[in-house]
Amino acid sequence: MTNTEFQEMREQLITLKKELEKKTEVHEQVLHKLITNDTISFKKKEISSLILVASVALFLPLMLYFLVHLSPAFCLSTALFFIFALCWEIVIIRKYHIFHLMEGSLVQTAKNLRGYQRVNRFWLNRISPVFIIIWFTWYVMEYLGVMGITDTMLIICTVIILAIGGLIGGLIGYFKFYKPQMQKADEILNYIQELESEE
Amino acid sequence: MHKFIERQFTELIKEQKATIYSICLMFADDRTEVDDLVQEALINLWQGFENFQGRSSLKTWVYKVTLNSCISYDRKRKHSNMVSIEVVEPSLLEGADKTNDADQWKLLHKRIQKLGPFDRAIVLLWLEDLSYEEIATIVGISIKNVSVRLVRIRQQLMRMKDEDSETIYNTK
Repeated sequence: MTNTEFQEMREQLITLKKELEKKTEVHEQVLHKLITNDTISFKKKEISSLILVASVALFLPLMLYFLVHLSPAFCLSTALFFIFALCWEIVIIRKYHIFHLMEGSLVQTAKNLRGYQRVNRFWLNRISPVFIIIWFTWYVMEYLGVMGITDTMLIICTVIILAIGGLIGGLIGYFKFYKPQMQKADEILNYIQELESEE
Repeated sequence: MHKFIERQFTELIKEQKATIYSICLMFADDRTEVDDLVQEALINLWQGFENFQGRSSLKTWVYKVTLNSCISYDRKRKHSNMVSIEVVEPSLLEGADKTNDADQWKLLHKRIQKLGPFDRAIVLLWLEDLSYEEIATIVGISIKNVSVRLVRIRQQLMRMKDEDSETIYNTK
């Protein structure tokens, strides 16, 4: 491509922008609605997710203690995990607040987003499975003890059904949400590495 | 005070709408995605507007936020149809009245679309006539790297042009 052709590309962009200038309209009311709606919905989402985790942290252990009559140690551990999850969520929200990320250079923003996804990956891959396995095993043992179930066959069947359900849920979550997100993150990271290798 | 900031923001968007829209257009696969990207960019611009401290020029800041919004856009997250920035013509790239221009824009869109996200940003900024220094600041790489990337992008675009010519020749 010659310089003239590049100049032509530039001129095409200029005419396109002129056309856009004429044909796009910014309606003040529409813009007002857009920014207020989304700001409210983002804050709502942030607050509601924190309230949800806080409520679960408070009510689930109480319910397990008073209604199912599980041991205080188990109920306290469950509460502690949820409090930890709540603190983690707050720290992550504050550290990687998405709107602050958008103002850095493109490379810096992509790196920050990658960091955010890495933290999420760490939570999903390392913390959650360990907690779920320990919690679930402990819960089954406690529950069986409280209910006085001794039939081995019944215990095995219950555990297998619950494990299969958990596995299916986990696989759907992994392939539908987690994997595509990570693929995009890796793609962006490759571009950054390529850019930085030339520095 | 809030009303005043909102008015200032509206003015800024009115001034920069062609830039915002053209960037989003070059990053979008279809018409719906253009609207989604514009909305995403507007929301991010609004979120940062109050805290914008003039560390860079307003124009550079608009480029940064818009390009960042386009690069990190989650294609699964669709905005509601309730709010959309109206474009009088339904599809600018398929405009019938100015066939030649529309064809050229389509070709420009097709070629830019084939580049990686950062290269797309670099070439768009270059076509917008920004200096190498400004491009380097927005992208976050050195000036030398900008010039190296631009040489590569030119080569890529040249290959695309040859491929396009071959396709036309073969269809004839």
